[in-house]
Amino acid sequence: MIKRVILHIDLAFAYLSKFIKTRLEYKADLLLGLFTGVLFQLVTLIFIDVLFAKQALTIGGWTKWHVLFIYGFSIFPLNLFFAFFPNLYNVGSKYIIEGNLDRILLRPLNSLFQVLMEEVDIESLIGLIVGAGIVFYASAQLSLEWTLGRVLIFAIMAFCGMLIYGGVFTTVASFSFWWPDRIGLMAPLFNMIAFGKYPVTIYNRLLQCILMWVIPFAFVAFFPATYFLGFDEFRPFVLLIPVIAAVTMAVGISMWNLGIRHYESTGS
Amino acid sequence: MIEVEHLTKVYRSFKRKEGLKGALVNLFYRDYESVQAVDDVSFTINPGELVGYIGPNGAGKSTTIKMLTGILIPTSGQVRVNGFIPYRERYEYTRHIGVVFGQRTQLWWDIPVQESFRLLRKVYQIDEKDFRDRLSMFIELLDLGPLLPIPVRKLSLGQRMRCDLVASMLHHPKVLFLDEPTIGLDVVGKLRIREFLAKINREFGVTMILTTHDLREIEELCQRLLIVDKGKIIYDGDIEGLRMKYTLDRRIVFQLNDNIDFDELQSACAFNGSVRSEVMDPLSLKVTFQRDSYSPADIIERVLKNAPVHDITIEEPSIEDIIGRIYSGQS
Repeated sequence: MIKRVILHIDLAFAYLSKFIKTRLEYKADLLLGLFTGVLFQLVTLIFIDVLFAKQALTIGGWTKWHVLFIYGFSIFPLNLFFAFFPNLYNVGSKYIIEGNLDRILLRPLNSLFQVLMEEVDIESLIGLIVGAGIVFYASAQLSLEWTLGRVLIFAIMAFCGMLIYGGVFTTVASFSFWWPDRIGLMAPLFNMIAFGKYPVTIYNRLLQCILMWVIPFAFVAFFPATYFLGFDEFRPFVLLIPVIAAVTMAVGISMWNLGIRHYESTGS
Repeated sequence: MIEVEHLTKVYRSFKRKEGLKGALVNLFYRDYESVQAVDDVSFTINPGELVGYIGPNGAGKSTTIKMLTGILIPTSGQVRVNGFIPYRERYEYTRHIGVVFGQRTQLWWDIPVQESFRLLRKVYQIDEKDFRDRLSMFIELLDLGPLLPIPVRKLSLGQRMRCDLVASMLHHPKVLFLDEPTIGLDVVGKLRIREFLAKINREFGVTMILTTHDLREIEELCQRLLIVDKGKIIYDGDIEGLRMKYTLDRRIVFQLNDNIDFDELQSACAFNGSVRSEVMDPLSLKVTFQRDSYSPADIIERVLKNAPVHDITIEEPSIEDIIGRIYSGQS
């Protein structure tokens, strides 16, 4: 078991370096990817600025700087997710309908691992720099203090957030094993990610409930951010973050494994 | 080595209704249709055998291969390969087998061939020295040297197939599954792959199952033949046996010096009812007879005694004719 884990970690690096090499072959593509990534972040920043400049100074008791901090934090789990899970989007088409899963199943490695490793979106990691800038700026405005321990907790929470996204979207991708005709669950769920970037308390009860216990995107950015912003009333939820991450990922992996048993390959 | 018992695979697919209204109906109600792709198939393959698995398109060849390799889970029946139940022990099992699909590559599309090989070394955890030895041997056998730095997507089909073959053999598989490995290749490409397969079967004792539509390949490579049709095995044996079983009729054509009286000749030879003889043109006579009723020597002797013959041809239907007849259902 441990041997198998070590093998997979070793191979993750091998796959990654292979991927970066091919990525560097298409330089123009890479540059364009980086450019649009930064542009996207800027547009969202302008949006937050406009929103708070014109209307009241606070939304549901949250100031501009709080929202900015939450937004800055949310960039971390989201871009980690974009970087390491982009291939989930291709599961239905490329792997199930076209039968590329055959090749995956013939190798002595975990199938989900292989699918994830076959495409990595390195450009998304650039977003982390933008995110760090925003977090730093918002922290300065709010005079938050950073210690090494806090940075570590920040990293762990960002990682947990990535796992929550990963688990949710692995679950959705696994549905393709039963309904290979691309059902459009991915896109609406993608849009729901945006809800997690703002304080969950500003939504109505039903939406809050969904964001916490059904599609737990509130645990990705909002609850982690409250820890650094010093809102102690959310502390129980903060402690739940790793549990939610583990459970979500476990659900995703189980659904995937169930789906594999349903795989019917293609005609030839 | 490979044991298959009562193997069956049923695909369930739903009948799609057409149009917008149909699509709405499909959402709530699905009318399923079962297709029996593999139907109660049993066979055993011994270590070192090279078995041809043939049948018309849609006969269930690929489905069987996919169950043998652990990609698909059988609906019912048993598969054991090398002691493993393929789909249940995928991790361990896939270490011991090699698989080549002619229709799609197992290599990574975007990276050079040699880096694909190196990545596979890691995946299968092949010892570095062992890996180098084997690779250099295969490179020589299949003349891969110039292809190594090229990304797979830039290779021709023949080149890619050679690389795929090597990729499937790097980790010392005991069994090699080949699903139409020469599909779409030219004569030279096919020959090369055929030679390679014969060599590794002979020298390493690798057990092989080969599906193909090229019957020359079967004749030259396979000691044994499994023919499937509509999901069932309809023949299991060697090629000679196939000829015996399905071509009871043989034919001898005599070229004659003179025109003869056909009726007179027929009564003089005194064949029994199972022999059909006919005059093709004034100077040639065709005699069709059953394998078990007369020997060719017997027929020739009788005709020679009664007619002026200057040439004799014995016609044996080709393996293609036989299999063509089996496929079209007139065996």
